[in-house]
Amino acid sequence: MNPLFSGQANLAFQIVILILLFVSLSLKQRRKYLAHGMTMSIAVVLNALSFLLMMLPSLLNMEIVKTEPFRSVSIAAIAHASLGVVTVVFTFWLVASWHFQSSTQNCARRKKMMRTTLTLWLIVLLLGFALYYFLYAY
Amino acid sequence: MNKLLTITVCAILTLLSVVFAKPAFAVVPEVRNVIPYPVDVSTYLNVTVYHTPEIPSHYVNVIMVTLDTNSTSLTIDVQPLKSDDTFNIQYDMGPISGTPTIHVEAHCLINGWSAEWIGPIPEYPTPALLTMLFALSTTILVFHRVKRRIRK
Repeated sequence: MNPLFSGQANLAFQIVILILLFVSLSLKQRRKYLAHGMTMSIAVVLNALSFLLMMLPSLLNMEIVKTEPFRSVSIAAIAHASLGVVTVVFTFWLVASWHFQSSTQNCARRKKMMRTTLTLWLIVLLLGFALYYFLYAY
Repeated sequence: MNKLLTITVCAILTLLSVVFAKPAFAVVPEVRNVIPYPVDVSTYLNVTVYHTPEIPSHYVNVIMVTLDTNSTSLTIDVQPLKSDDTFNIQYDMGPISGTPTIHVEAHCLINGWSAEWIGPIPEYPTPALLTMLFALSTTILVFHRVKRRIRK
């Protein structure tokens, strides 16, 4: 596969996930909690696939992270990867603890964690866009 | 609890299947071909490298050629890509004797070294050898003509 195409495909994939996140948030605003949970779960699975298929191999190929870890691109890649892993773990934890229940009682207790996870996710996405720009478009 | 277990098992199976389905994903450069050619007394290499993208923040910056134990490297700048995402670099090896085997590698600023391209360099006749051959053939020709004239 052409690496440039892989990068572009992953970027498109991440934009789809971002749209899905906003759709899910709007569903929550309209108190459609089950639909909110379902769309978030889809976003979590898509993000995990994107991480394992595209971003992890790409990170492992970035020799500059090992040879020059204090360069701006290395710092951005390490920050993106480490915050990304934390976000993936948080999202999986949230989806697993909700486990597709129609009741919102359990979810209300995790409101703080959900907000933290969403903030982290958006930061990771922004870092990812910056990294894409540096690696493929700058 | 059963639902949680089911979801956890499904998630683990999905992750495992994804991990084992290794993707063909590589950004490291690739030395596709090396063609040696003579220029005066030197041997030049026409090195074809595959790498995309070639942009100021991400490009192939070094071509390294190893002959026996001697490694020499050529630092290069961002190269214009052809339609097949390759570019060519001319590398001056200097005078080469015999048919040595060379190792050629390309280094990307971000992704590191490519796999080695390994191949032999053919022996090219040097100008001195050509001059000697020319002198020898001229001498033989002149000798034959002189011999004919003497017979006549």
